Amino acid sequence: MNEERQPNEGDKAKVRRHVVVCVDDEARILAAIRRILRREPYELLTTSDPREALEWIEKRDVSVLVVDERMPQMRGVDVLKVARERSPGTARVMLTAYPHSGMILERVSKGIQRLITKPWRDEDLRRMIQDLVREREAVESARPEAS
Amino acid sequence: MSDTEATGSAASAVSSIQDRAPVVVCVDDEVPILAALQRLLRREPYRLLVTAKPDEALQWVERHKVSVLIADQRMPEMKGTDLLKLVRERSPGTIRVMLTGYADIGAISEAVNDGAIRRLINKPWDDEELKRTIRDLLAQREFQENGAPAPVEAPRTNTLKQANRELEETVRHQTCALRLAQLMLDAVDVPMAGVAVDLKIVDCNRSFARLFPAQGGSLRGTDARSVLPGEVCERIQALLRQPGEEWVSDVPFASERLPVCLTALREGDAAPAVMLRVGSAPSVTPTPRSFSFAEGREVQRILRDDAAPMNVPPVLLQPRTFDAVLSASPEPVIVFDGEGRVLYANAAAAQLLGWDRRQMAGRPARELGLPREIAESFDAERETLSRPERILVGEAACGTPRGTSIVEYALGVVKAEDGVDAVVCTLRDVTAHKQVEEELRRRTLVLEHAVEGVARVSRDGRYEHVNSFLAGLLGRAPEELTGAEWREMFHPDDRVGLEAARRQMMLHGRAEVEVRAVPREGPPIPVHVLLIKTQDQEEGSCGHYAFVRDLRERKRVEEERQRMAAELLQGQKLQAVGRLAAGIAHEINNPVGYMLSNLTTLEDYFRDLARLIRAAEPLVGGSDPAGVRQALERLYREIDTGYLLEDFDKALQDCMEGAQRVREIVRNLRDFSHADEGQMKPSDLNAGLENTLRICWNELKYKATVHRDYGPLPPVLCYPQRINQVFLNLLINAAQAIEDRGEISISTRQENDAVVIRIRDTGRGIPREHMSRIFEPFFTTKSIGSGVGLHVAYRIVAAHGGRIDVVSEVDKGTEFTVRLPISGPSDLAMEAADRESVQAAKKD
Repeated sequence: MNEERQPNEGDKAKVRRHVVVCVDDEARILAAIRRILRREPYELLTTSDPREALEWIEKRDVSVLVVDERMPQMRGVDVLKVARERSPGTARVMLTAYPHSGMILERVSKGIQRLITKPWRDEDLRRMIQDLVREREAVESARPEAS
Repeated sequence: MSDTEATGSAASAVSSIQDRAPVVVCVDDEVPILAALQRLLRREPYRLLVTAKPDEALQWVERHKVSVLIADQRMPEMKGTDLLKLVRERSPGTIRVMLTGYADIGAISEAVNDGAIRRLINKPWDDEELKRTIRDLLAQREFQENGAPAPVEAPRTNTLKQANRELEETVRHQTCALRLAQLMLDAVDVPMAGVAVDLKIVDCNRSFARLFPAQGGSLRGTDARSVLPGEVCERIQALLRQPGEEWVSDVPFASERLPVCLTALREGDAAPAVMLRVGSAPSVTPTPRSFSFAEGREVQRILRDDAAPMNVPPVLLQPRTFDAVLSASPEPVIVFDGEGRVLYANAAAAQLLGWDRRQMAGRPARELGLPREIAESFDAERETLSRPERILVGEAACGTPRGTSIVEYALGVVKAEDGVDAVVCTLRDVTAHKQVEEELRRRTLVLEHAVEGVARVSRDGRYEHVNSFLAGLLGRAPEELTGAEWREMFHPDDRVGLEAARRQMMLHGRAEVEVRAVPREGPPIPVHVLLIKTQDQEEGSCGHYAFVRDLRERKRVEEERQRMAAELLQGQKLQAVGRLAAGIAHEINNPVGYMLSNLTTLEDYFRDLARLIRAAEPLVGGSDPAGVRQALERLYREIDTGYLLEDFDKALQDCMEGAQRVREIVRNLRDFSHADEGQMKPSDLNAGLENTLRICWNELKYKATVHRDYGPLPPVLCYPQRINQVFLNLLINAAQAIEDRGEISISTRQENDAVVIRIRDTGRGIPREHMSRIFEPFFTTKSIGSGVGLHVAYRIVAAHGGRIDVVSEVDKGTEFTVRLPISGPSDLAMEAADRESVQAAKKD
């Protein structure tokens, strides 16, 4: 077992690496998420600027987008809405401290795939991203052209 | 109460055992009736099912073999008669019984005739009879089904006869009652009539009918407008709408003008009729001397003292002297002949009636405007009057130039020596007297029913009269208090104050004082006493009036108000904090989130470090360095030690920071929510603003950039938590006013003996028409919040002796300016603030 220890270092193998983007206005949250996902085989991009995240969405093929609900520049919901338009294939996850019922409705209406509350359980977060990546792969392999 | 089968079968325990027990169904929309029937019939040998729903009963009839069905007539969903008709269609064998209070007699009779109803049972029913009836019916049914033909007599006819008999009985009763009422009405001499909502005269008595000779007889059914003047009809209509009682004076009737009393007769909330009474005031308590000339009535008579004649000096017998003597009397005197025509009238009589004396001679009494009782006496009481020892006296209304007067009259008969009869009538105008009586009665009524204590105190300080309220307050009967020393009713310590008040009243005519009254039982009662000097006719006056008001209620209301004020304050604070909960949850959850996460990570890191340490251990114990070195090299390759060392520290630092943040947030929250210690203290308002900003930071940070401009401020004497609440409310308002993104600017300055805090936003502003209302409680244009935030802020600032002002422009923004005196509020404002905070502190 030769696990990757360096977080976020690409494995130059042929296997395509999924891109996971996390956005939160709190740097320490991003640091914590990086630590949790350090052993996962994704390319993890983190930023506290939602606009940067949206650029990545356009330029790269992002598999999973995790966004905090409350940010100074934009609401998480709005970021996910734009992401949906620009890259419908990207799985959308909302990170929230206050999962109230209005949120549930929004989730359904605005096509958010997963909600995860703060504080999260590390294992839950890891597994959720794994699931979403796997779903993505399943969808892609069903398509004639390989990505 | 369930109206299912279950109840039915539970109720008739015996019958549930037998499947083949006959089924009896009862339908009545009134559940208590069903319950009563269940109780009554629970031991009967049949199965009783009850329901309030006709539909359900129909279902049962179709599903089970129902022997007897008993239905009420008046049901909201379906009339009983209709139900029974349906039952007849669907189950002709079911015996149908109607239970009725004789509502809707027409429909019932028809149904009985039709054969839809076999038996009628009256409500309220007789228990035994009901049981017997049902048993009989069941027996009949049994008979019909199983054996010999049913009894010969056609049940239809029987029932019809019985129904008819019962109807007749009821009608007889009612007719009797009506007849009796009519007789009683006619027996009353006062003309009375009843007018219904449609303004038709429902009924009237004979005396009333006589007022309208033109109608010739009964006025029943006549439209009141055709016999009564418009004004009276209007008043009647008004009373029909708004029940009450009122007088209309001077109503013209056929031959005279009379006062009329209108009383609305209430039935529940409706006024179905107005009763008219014509003539003298009903409040006139008939004195033993009152009487009437109505037919067959008892007439009271007074015997003259002595019938012995007195010797009359000849001079008095001369006509002119006679006239002079009688005209010297202020009492009107008229002498009539046997036919009721005027023989003589003195000056006073002429004046009363408004006639020229000479014109009066020879006229009948009727024409003069005298009460008709006098006129009638000639017809009715001729026989009686012919006996000289009788005098008839009475009171009646009399038409005079001034209007209607109440007169006392006396009639006596004189038998002249040559046989000519003369009737002497003396009159006394008691109108004024009656009015005074009435006024006194009214005033006494008012006093009695006043919700204030009223007492009249004599010159020597004793109660002359005490109204029932005051007596009740003092726990004594009014009679007990009459004659008592008035000061005794008050607390000994307060008597000095009372005396002082009394002296002031003597000087200035009135005085007020708050003292304690001492009831017979119970604690002293705080009261407010108003003393008013009475104006007496005599010199050297005078007693006084004391108006006593119970202050307990007021004090209680005061306390209540204060308590509510304090609660409002506290409640609003908690409400504000509650609204911030979402933001605060977020604030706490972020650090908690990465703390937990990092701790897991640190666990991992620690495990790796442990491996390294353990691998190096043998070296310390002196083992083979080469083997150890290999192991370590392997581990170093495996573990990214550089990264680990660096990140370990970072992760740890993040955790520390997170934990401190949480501690700070909790502390802020606790400080903010906590009520005052109850004391004012000198406070740094800049620090207070910062504290408040921290609390609501989450609310603000997504909406606005906050600019701070704090000038140096001296400590301000205040309740710091209250002032923070003001800041919180203003800041939240500012954030909510901003739609998307904007700015909030806070500035603080000292200006002379006050500090000035300005909070400005670039939000949507306040429209001019709302500006005057924004500090009102519960005024809000927002969909969230209750609208008390600004009101509470206003009150807190006012209690501190400060002021709060606002300027605003729609779509530009709003600026609130809070001005607070550095040395705190003045005494008055402080007292109020103290009281409120005491209450609030008590609650904590």
